[in-house]
Amino acid sequence: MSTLNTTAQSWGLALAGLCLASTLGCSTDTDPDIEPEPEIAASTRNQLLWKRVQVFEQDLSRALELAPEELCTELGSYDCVNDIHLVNLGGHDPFGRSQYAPVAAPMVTTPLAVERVVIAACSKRVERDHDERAVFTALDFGSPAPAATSDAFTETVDTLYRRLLSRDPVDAEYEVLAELLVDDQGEPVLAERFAAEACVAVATTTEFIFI
Amino acid sequence: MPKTTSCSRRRMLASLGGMLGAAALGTVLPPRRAVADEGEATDSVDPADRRLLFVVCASGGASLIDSFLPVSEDEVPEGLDPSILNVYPSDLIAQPGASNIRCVRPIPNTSFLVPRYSIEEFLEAHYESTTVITHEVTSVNHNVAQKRAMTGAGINGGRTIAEAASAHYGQGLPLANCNMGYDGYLEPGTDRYLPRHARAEVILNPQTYALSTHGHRGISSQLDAAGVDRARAARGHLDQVSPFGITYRDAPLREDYIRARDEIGPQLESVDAITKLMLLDVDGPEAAQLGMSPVLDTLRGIFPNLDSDIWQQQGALSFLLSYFGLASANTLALQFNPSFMGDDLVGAPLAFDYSHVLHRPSQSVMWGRTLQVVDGLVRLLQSFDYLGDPALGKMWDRSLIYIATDFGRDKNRPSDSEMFGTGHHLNNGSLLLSPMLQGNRVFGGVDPGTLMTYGFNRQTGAPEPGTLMREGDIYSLIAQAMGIDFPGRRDMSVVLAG
Repeated sequence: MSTLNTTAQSWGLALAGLCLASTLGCSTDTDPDIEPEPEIAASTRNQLLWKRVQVFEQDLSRALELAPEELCTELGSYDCVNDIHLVNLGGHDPFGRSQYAPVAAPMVTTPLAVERVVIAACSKRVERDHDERAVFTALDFGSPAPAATSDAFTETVDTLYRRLLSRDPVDAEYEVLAELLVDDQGEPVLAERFAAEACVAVATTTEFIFI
Repeated sequence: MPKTTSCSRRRMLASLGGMLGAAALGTVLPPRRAVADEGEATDSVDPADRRLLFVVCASGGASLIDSFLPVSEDEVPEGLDPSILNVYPSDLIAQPGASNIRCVRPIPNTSFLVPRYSIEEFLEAHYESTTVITHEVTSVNHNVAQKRAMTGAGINGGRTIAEAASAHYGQGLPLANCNMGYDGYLEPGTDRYLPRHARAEVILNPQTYALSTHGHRGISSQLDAAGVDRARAARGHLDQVSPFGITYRDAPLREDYIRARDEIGPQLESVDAITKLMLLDVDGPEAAQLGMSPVLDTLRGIFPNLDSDIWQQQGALSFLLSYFGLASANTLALQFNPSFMGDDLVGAPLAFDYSHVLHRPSQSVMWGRTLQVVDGLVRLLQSFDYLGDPALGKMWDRSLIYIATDFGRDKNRPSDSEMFGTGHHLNNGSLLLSPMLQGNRVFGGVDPGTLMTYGFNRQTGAPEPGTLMREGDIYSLIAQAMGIDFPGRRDMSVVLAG
């Protein structure tokens, strides 16, 4: 019994200590100005890696089932990724410019280059899917976009996330993309327009750019 | 209802650990330099106060004694053999008009290299604005020497002069520091406290660079501008609600990217940079969405080979970036790839470094090639009002052009040889053009017996044999002329305009 009492006392002291420690520097109240702690903690290391030109190209190519050279051309003939936007996308030119190392971090025009490539690639995919469905198999092109509660919508969003980001979407992401189903007047857009916009939206998130 | 806590146990433990760690590290790490140093702009700079820097990189080893500091055979002291020194016949040395500066005339034999412009033409047109400064460098390795020409051998904490100028004048400009350089001229500085806006925007292809300044115009797509905006809005929301976005919400790399995407990208689009900077005649289905620079015809008049010559394209783009208020510092550089106009080889392979094989033809042709673009740039800067606003005066009034050289070349040659090769040499100089400097003047001198350049008195500016200026002096001069201060800057007041 004395042992139990000692043990109980010890636990009590430990618990008191813990409570004291947990209050140090913290406030515990119901102040509405204090944001509730999100369920996902912020990274304390933040060691992100920029997905550079070849990896970016390959990931996009595999996700949209397009050959790398089909992703994007500028002015009808220039290769977007390996020519026009090479350095913006993280590449370098050792032979032409003796640029032996790429830029350390994305440049100011990197997001614009990413958008150009992704918009071209997503548009190409949607165009191809008219004749031969590969990605947007759940959508009925030529018809209005499906309802947000439909299986077609869920399946399309799932497909985009699995192909581009290798995961399933969370509820909040379905909600965001559901907004693309209708225009500013609340009328359904064409299914192919939804497909293109959703594709661009997902493929230009920072999650696709950094690993 | 459970009470909400703003501090989890994990966060509390993390902060306690952080405090202890910081206390320990604070005794080891040097104090962090403030991001905004004294004199460094933190707010947008008033255009009226902005100054423009153009770094023109004469890559490969551009020799001053083969351009603006020649020595004639007659000037070699008695007892020395001029036939083994890289001296020129008197009739190949010119001193045009009221110029205090001499130069080498076009040489009669440039082998298979085809000259298109001469040093003499340049000096005739611009001697009043030209300042020649002798100096010696600290490396004969191209990459290292080029880097040191940009950083002043590290005199300003590793910042390149273009970074320093952009840090000071580029706040608020979307592309403050544009670098079309080569090798060491293209490398960033090593100052890790450089403000974000002063980091270089590397440009490999000036002719098509305009396409990088818009997110969709000119791309074949079913999406119109409104559709792109909708996708962008959705993308922004996705970034906020995704597990990835929440987890890495504080990641600096991601924050910088989002800032560029959501602030600077729209800024570039709103000012229609894609049109203003377009140097390419566009045809095909994309032409409907794209336009050419409103100054393109003028540029073609100044740079007649603009459509095919990347060197001229660099000159043109550097002007456009500054004229339209997008950049405050531009770096352009000759490449080591040979350049052709039709069948004419107008740019030597290895640029000035082809002097290893044919010294005098390479120096003559490549100085001409370099100065042709500088001539065009000066004429544009002297013709156009900054930002197109007459109240701001001509762009030239606020500009400085620094012709950077890697290093010099050997001073000797095989006896009486006109066709010979030279190696690298530490001893040389640089050329600068600006109304902010004393023009039509040589600071320093050259020994006619050895062809070694020497420096000048820092108080009087008079040539002073036995003295040498270094990379840090040139850097300090440019910084001082541009109104940029930094710890350790050397006083080069004697070179500045009155």
